[in-house]
Amino acid sequence: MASIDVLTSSADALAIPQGNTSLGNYAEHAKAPPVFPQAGDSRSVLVAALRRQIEAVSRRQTYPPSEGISAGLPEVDALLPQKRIFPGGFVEWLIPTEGTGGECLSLRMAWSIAVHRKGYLVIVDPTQEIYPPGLVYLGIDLPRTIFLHPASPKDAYWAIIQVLRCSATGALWACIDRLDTRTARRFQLAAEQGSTVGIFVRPFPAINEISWAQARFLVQPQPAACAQDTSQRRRVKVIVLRARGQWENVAGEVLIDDPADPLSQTFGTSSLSASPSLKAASLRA
Amino acid sequence: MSLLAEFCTRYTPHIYFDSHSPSDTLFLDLTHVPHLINDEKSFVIHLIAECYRQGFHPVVIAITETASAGWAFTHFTSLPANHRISQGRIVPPGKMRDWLRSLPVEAIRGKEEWHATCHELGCHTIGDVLRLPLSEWEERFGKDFGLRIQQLLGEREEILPPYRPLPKFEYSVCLEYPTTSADIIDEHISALLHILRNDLLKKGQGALELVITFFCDDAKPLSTTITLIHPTVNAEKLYGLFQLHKEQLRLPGPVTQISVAVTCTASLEWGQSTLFHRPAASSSREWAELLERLAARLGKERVSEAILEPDHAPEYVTRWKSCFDRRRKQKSTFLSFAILPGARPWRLLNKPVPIEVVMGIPSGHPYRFFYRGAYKEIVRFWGPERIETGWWRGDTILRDYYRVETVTGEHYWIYRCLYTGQWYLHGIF
Repeated sequence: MASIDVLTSSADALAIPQGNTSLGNYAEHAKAPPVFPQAGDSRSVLVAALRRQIEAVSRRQTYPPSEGISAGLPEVDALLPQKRIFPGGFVEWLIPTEGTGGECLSLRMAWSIAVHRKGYLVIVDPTQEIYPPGLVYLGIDLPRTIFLHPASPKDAYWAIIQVLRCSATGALWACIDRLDTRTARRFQLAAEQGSTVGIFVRPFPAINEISWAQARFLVQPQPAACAQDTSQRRRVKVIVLRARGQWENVAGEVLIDDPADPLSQTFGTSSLSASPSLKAASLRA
Repeated sequence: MSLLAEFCTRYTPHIYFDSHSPSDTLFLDLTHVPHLINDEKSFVIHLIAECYRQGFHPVVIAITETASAGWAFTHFTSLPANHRISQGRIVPPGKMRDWLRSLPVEAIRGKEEWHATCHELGCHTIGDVLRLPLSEWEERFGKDFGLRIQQLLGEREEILPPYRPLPKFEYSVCLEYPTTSADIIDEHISALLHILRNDLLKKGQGALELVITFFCDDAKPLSTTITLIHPTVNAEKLYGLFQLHKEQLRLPGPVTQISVAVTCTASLEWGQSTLFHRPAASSSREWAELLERLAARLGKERVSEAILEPDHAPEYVTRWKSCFDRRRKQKSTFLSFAILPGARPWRLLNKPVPIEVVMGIPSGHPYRFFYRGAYKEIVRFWGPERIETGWWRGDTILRDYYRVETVTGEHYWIYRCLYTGQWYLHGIF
């Protein structure tokens, strides 16, 4: 109980009452008397009260809904509590193994954000294995994309901070295997300073690490519906592990279309091809 | 050769490479230079000794009136290279033509067939060649031969490729004592940059490329290049970029001289200040500054754009171009999507990984493969997409590519080399 007491005392100013917790009414509720957990409360009541306080803290850092940016994937937007990604933070995509489609979704999200912000997409690629024709296939315009090839992890971290700190950046995308809490916090502060968005692809073991991300997704590939399906469409399950203002894991299914497949023009309305650039590309193909 | 050329910049800024390949020669314009070290003989001795100290040994030096004659004397009047002795030769003014006469015809820089034909005609030395009128030689070999002879004798001008363009602004400081102190070096560079700033401002120019060179005691000189997107005279900004460069530099020895040279300039962009803030202009400036910072720390070749080449071999499709390359930018790649023959992965392994694949019989299609310690069952595949290309590069590619989906929903790009039958994993979707 001692630790709970410390936590509540530090969050006094930010505690909000039970009931409506929407962002628009926060200012009104902030004036109302806060509800603090008492020593005699049952465990579930304590947890609920603490949860509301943490929710208030996290919501306080968000931007007005008008500043939100679509993730470029309608299904992913629908999973987020405010249906938007907000500048001034980063998003993590956890992938169990390579080739699951999570990288494609994250790249698509990064490009969509860069287009919305009218800036360049910056890809940090120390191994020089990102394949530009594959990016074109995902609908990313290469002249609006800058590739950084740092020689060491130290240089890569430095470059990420510099790019996030620059408000002219459209979006940043990087694969990061190891990320300690201090570096993650630096990324967060840099993104806040520049009001930019970073998209990081992380390996699955990172699920146990403390995250500073505004949203954290887990990708689970789904096997094909039937082996006779000849289109190159892929189904992946996206689970929102963490998002500000959201406590339960929510999941949805995303269909990654094959833009070169003529069938995708018919069945692609709920998938990646819903984005204007990719849809245009598939029509040309 | 570049290191030797960089070392020689302490004697003269006019340094040229040999236009013939393979190049083993540097040409230095020594007009008004040797007298600074007493005379030409002292200069040659000094230069040989300094080259030896810097690790350039052996060297052959010839001081002559023309570049072609210098090449002839260094290549045909010295001891063979296996003697490992540095040598110097000074041709007195007015004696060059006489001395050249005794050299073999190979001392005329040009085509080998010229030399062979001269020998067939009984002309074995330059003196033999000069006995006949030049017009007769030109009728046989063309105008080039006459030009070479005239250049050799100093009757025609010879144009050589410079080691680097003459710096438009160059400042250097010789230190009283060799030092490795970062503070002292920083102080001198800051002072040089402020002098540079004043001179650039007077001319209305801004620096686009800056070369900072450290001449070290008993070691080769060390240079670093700062490249900018927009011309600038801001000494503080240049100093800040130098600080980022400095983290990557390792001085080979105590510094004796520091040089700051501007090798590329452009007119300063003057703009009328506006009453209201223009976000687009400030965003563009901020973006340019970001790229300059990234290039300063990572190296400008590591801040790049991707250019798609019309090549079928997956390894050769992409060409990386530095963002600081001022050549024409490529057009949008949305249209190039249409010419891609099939799906391409977002990640292409630098080196294809050999894998074991179980194939169906008689189709030969992949059924399962072994990768990272486990068998991966293939439930769907697309292909084969045959790629056969690259015979002109000497390594003909003949591959059947498949995009495969495993039972767990992962997509890979694998291929079979049709020469060896070996399967490889090449990309990840």
